[in-house]
Amino acid sequence: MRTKAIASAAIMTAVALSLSACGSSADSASGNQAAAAAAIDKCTPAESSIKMTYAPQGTPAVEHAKKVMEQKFPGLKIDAVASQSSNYSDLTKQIVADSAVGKRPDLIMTGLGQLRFWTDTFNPAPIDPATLPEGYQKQFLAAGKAGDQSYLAPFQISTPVMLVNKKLLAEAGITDPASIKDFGQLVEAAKKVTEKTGKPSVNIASDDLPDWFSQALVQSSGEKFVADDGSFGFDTAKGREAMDLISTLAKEKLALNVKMDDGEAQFVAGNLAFQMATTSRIARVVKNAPADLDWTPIDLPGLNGPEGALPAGGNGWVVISEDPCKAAFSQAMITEMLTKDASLLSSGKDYSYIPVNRLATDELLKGDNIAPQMRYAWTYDKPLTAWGGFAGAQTAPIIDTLRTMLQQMGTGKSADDAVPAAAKTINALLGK
Amino acid sequence: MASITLENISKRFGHVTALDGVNLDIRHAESLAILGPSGSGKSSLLRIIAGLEAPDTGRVLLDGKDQKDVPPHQRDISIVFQNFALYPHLTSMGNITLGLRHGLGLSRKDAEQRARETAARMRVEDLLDRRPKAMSGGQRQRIALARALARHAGVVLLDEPMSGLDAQLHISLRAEIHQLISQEGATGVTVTHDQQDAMSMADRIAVMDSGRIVQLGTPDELYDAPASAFVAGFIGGPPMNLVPAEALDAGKLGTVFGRLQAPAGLGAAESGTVMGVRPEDVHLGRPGRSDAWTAAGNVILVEPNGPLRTVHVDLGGTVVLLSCRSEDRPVLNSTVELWLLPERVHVFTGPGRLRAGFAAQLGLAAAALEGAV
Amino acid sequence: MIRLYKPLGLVLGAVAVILSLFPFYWMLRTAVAPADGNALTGLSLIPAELDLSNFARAWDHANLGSAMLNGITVTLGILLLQLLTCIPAAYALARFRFRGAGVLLGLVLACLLIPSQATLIPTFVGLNLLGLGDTRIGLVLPFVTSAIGIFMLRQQMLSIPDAIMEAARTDGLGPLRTLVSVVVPMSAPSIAAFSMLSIFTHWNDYLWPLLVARSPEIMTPPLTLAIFQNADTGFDYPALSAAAAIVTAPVIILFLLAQRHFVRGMAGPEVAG
Repeated sequence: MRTKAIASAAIMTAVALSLSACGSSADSASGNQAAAAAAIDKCTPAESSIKMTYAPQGTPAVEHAKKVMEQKFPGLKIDAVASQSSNYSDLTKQIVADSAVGKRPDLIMTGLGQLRFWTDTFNPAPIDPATLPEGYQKQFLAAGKAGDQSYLAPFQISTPVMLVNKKLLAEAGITDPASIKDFGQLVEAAKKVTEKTGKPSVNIASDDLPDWFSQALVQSSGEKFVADDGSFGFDTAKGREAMDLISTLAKEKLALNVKMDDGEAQFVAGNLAFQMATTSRIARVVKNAPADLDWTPIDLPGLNGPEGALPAGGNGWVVISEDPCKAAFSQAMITEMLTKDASLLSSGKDYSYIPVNRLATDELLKGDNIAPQMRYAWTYDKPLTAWGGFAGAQTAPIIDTLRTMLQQMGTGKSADDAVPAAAKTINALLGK
Repeated sequence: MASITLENISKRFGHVTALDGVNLDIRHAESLAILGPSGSGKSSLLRIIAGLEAPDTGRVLLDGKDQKDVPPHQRDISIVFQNFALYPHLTSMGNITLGLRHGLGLSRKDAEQRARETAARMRVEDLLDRRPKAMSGGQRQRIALARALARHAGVVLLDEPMSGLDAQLHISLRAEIHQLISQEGATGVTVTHDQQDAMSMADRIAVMDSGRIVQLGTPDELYDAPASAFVAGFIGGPPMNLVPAEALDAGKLGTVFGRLQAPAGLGAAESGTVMGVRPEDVHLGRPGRSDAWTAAGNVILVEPNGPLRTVHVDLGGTVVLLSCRSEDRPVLNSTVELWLLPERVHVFTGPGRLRAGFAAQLGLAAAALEGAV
Repeated sequence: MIRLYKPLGLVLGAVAVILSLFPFYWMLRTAVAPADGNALTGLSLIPAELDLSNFARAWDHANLGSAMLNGITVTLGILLLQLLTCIPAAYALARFRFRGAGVLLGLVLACLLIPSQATLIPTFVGLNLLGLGDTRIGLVLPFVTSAIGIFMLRQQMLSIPDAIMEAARTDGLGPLRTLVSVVVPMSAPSIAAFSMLSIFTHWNDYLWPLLVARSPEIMTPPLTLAIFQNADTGFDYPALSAAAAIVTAPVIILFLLAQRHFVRGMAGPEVAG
């Protein structure tokens, strides 16, 4: 689904362009320029209302924050509409369409992978970190940055992770999965397991999220996904060597090479030793795995051990209001949605999003009968980067190119061939 | 009473003249056939009588009343369409009653009552709840006719009523249709390209060619005295032999029957003259009369035809058909002699190949026997 | 050789049937998978036990009852309006000669060439100018006529023999009466085929309702299915499949009924004895 979300970003850009054309003819005064937030004490709540649009996974936290806001600012109207679909692409389409007909919301939820779409076409208001509540893990703000400016406040987030079947590893003589930190160790461990079981032992899906997963592998190896000048960042000796992991796993017949859901099914069934997944899926694996499945999430290995920050997925809040006071109230609303109580509602128990508020993490960890794997997701506090980073207009063909690159290596093509080819195509798309 | 008068009807479709000044009187309760090849304008004439098409000039009178601007369903006319044109989604009952209810304004009950009466007269009651798909061609034709007759119209128009029926059915149905229409006391106008249908169904036949009526008469009149070579060739089966005559010097004509001496002053001596003789007037063997015309030729085809045979004889490039009794058995590829009498030879002359009379009446005689090979 | 063809045809036919029916089977299979277990793990071809709780969960969680009612209202509303506009338009284009008929037909054909995506946004903007965003009327209005419908029906009406139309004239049927009593019944196969096409298209339509509908009260079935899809935390496949089965059931039933009706209509109820 998220693949689809990103893949249709280009379509949405086109939609946005045609919409803005319509919009400017219908109402040339408004344009796409969002307003910077006013000082909130200069605004009268009773005269103000804010309209927000979000996907249903945010509902509990939104409803909680709405109540708090209505108490704090008597008279303020908050028109919060949950979209029926939890798909970020659908959400974006609805917001773009509404904006085209003069129903632009003030505050929106968006998938992290779509940040560049909003910053490139809607000029959202910057987020002021000073307004964020107590306990908010500010290192996650990096996932909401375009350039040096924060435009998005991460709300429900996750990041790539490696799920490991401890039993299969133990049978192959590996007792400490956490010791697998670099790609060499991963390949060695996989070889041992495969020798024992006769089955492929690693699944790194190339279909679902090629841009996110390749970015994770590159950054985890300490290389840049996007170079400083905006061009392809990892056509370097180090980058090629890191990506060669996929090729090596394929050549050694260690790779299962199926979609993430299918790999997850094999993992839950106890047939797969290593499944590259995301932290947000841990809750589901916990729920579905039989009690006797002995497994653990480990940090995604890197070429020479985990070196860099991983890209964040999930969603966050962006202020696109055209009115300074509405922007200010939207900013305040964000604050209330990131508090400890709100964070418990958005991330805890049923979900394994990484709680963005440390106080919520502490609260969650106090609970009884917590699966140890959930602990991994809840306590994730390493810095995260933004997802993607290439300019927004060519997103879909760029993702296709990266998918092709992964798939070529997934059938054994060397990274020395596949990566430069992808670099050439993507740089051409970007005009670099 | 239902008589039809057509006055100077003309109709053009673009550059094509479909009808060119047609005048025709159709008497009450008579059965008239309009006979002609396709493109002769006969269907257009029918459609103009019905009111489906308006004439460019001229008037259609029904019982002396001008029918201009009278829509089809308000004329005292019903139609049996080519290929029946039954509504495929309706039962026979529905097909018959639709027009009665909407065109004539009968109540459903009255319409069904009338449909049953008509069906009973035609002995097709058992077909009333069938749809066209579940009926044979003959059954459909009877229902189409019932639909027309149930209107109790003074005039019944039939557009190629026999097309699409097999030969056996053809003969029995045409008699039946004729009988039914005359029982109703209606005036019947049938358009057909089949001369036998026209001959057997009609009291009078109007032969059409190129938008004109070229002859109007009883079947016997048309057979005995065709007004032109066109009519002669169209009426009768096997068709009349039409052999060209070539004008020679000194008032002589050259034909396959040898040289003929034309009396002075006869237009027959002009080129373009055609001699017509019906196959039954051509005989095998030697003539018993000295003034008979004779010829000899090769038998190229013998068609048995019940009591008669049709023999095709090649007279040096011109094929002549003759009918002989089936006891005579001319041998294929043998040379035979044949003869005919000048009082049975029609002479057609002039640009329209109009009938001038019988050869004997015109004084045409075999000029020199040496010409006859 | 020829004797080989028949069994070969049967085998190929059977394979084609199995291939096309398998996704439906798998939808039902997944819909009865245990809701608390892992729907993805080793689902057997034949379920060992049937867990029907997914259907109840799907029905409640996605508010399917109201969505189905909306879907039926919208789909039938569209169909009714399409028939009301397409049938007279096709009749006029097929059976009347009038000035501009060629140009009008050309315009209809031109409409077929324009992809619906191209007109999506202008239509949406226009609809909101009329104040019909987030209304059932807004879900229906853009589809009140159909170029493909006009074209399909016109082709069918063209094939009605002229003699039948003249028979109607001599039977005293006016243009409207002819349309109702003769042309429409004789075009029934095309009207039925077009109706099926329209119903399938608009029952399953996702993009337009996604843009127009915001209020839960006017959600259509495909929109409600999206609630079970969450890429971040994984899909609820049993509930999703159960909901999909519920949503597709009316369409499948309709198709089976219509098929029977078609067969009956073609063969005719009366067999010549």
